[in-house]
Amino acid sequence: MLSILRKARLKDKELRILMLGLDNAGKTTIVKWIMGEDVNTVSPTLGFIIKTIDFDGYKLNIWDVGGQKTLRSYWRNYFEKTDALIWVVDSTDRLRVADCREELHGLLLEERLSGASLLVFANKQDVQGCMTTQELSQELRLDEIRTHRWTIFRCSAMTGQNLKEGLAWVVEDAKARLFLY
Amino acid sequence: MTSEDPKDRFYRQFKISVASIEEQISSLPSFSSVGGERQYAVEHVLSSISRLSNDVADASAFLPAYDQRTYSDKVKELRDEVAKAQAQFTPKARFQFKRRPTDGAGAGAGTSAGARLDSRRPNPVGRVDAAAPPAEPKARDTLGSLPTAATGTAGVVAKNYNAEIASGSGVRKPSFSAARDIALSDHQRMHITLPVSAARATSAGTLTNLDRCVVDMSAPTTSGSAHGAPFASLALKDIAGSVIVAGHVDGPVHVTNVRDSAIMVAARQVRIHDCDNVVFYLHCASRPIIEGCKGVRFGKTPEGYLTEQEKKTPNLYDQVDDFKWLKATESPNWSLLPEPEAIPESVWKKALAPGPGVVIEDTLHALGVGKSSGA
Ligand SMILES: Nc1nc2c(ncn2[C@@H]2O[C@H](COP(=O)(O)OP(=O)(O)OP(=O)(O)O)[C@@H](O)[C@H]2O)c(=O)[nH]1
Ligand SMILES: [Mg+2]
Repeated sequence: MLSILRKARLKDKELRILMLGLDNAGKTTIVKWIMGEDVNTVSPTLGFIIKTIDFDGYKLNIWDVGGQKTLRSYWRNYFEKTDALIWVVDSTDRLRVADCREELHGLLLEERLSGASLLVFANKQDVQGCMTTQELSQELRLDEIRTHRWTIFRCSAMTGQNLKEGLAWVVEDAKARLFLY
Repeated sequence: MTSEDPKDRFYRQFKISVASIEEQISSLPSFSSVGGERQYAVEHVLSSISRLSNDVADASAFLPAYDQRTYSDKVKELRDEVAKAQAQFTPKARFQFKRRPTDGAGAGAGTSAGARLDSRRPNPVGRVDAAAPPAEPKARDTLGSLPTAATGTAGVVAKNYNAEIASGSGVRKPSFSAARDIALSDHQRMHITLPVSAARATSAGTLTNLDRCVVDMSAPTTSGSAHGAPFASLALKDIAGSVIVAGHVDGPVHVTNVRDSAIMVAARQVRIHDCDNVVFYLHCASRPIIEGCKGVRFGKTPEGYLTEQEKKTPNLYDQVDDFKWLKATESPNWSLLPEPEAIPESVWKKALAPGPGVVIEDTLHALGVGKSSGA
């Protein structure tokens, strides 16, 4: 069943992208920037938002799910059929980087996400003194990840830096893995 | 590739497609209606059926009319099956939260952290007045000879000025201009006023582990003032019995585990967690949210603490979402601060102005904090 759905989607050149991260990471702001919408009046997400983006000939269905503690237990409702996981990190948030690591590694154990590649967005790089991608790779122990193809991009949802490049990686990776059949 | 009859090949493929579509239809009820999963699955089935229908049309070149009708009937039958399956579950128009017994994880988390607050150094009543007089030389930036902070700060920066504040008694003027970002932590009974020279364009602020302190950051974060610039983001954590005038934030304020305190801030987003008995004086451009809080009250930032720009933007301070109370009824965890109870601007200005010999408790009292903050 799953594989049939997946194949059907690939024929349509559609990808399902799940965007998660702690609350305040900047997920919604990233989506807004990509959609060309106002990034200054975003409220914290109660529930989830789905946006469809046409990117490079592909249809990206992006599921932006709220990261408040109360909502994290609902994340699992969105795992099914995910082609790529985008994990957004607030690079200024040193206080919760351990929390961030635990949530991420917890997700990677999920069987229903086992087929998804992982893009880590080190967001808010426009803020001075924030953590670098090297620091974050260490803090989040990214090099311990064996189960998923992954990469990390520094980015900013305020300036738009690297957002398109990140999505391009997701699409390239999906092409290589999924569109071969 | 021998010449297989296209009719036969089509028949085979059609059968496979129908089998897979029927399987999809039969599994529709197992999809969760939460999060649009089911709707998503339904759309997929329908698009598979459309494709099949197109295939039948394309095959008309070599299919006898009778076969074609049989295939078309089958396609229609599939559509009916989907409609029937859909009728069995009324799709929910809106996302709804299911109540789960695991609720409350957030509420307990902050409590143990709060215990750390009381064990800190018993400082003399210090008023650290950092509103530097004009003659203050820049040389004060070099803080290398000061003792390092006895207690760990959360960030990697700013140990120096924390040490400097802590080592001072009476009036001290810490300099922040060497720091990449503002990080104040581990202070007790301190009145700390950040000088304009502490301003950092697009930097983050962090205040942690403060007990019975008064912190005023309004001057350096006001972009209208000489060198001021708003914070890009601000985090407040583990604070008790204190008054924080956080100034201006061109982004989010993230508040965790604050009790018996008053906080004034103008920001784009305000996110409040695990707080108890705190009054917020807000100017907020989006809906403030609370999670795991009780006894939090909301009023407006006094006009005199707003920039011209902020005065022009709508203030959503009174449209609070409680993530622990997603019901139609009013949340018992927060309320609006009645006008008469709000501390007026003149009282703020007077209490926050530097002056020698003022006891910190008096300042806290004047700003509505410290009746019985325990410990
Ligand atoms: N300076 C800066 N601020 C950012 C950036 N991205 C997001 N922000 C700010 O961070 C805050 C949180 O952004 P959101 O997009 O609401 O975060 P979220 O991850 O969707 O949060 P939840 O919906 O609660 O899960 C907002 O105030 C944004 O303005 C960035 O790249 N740079
Ligand atoms: Mg969001």
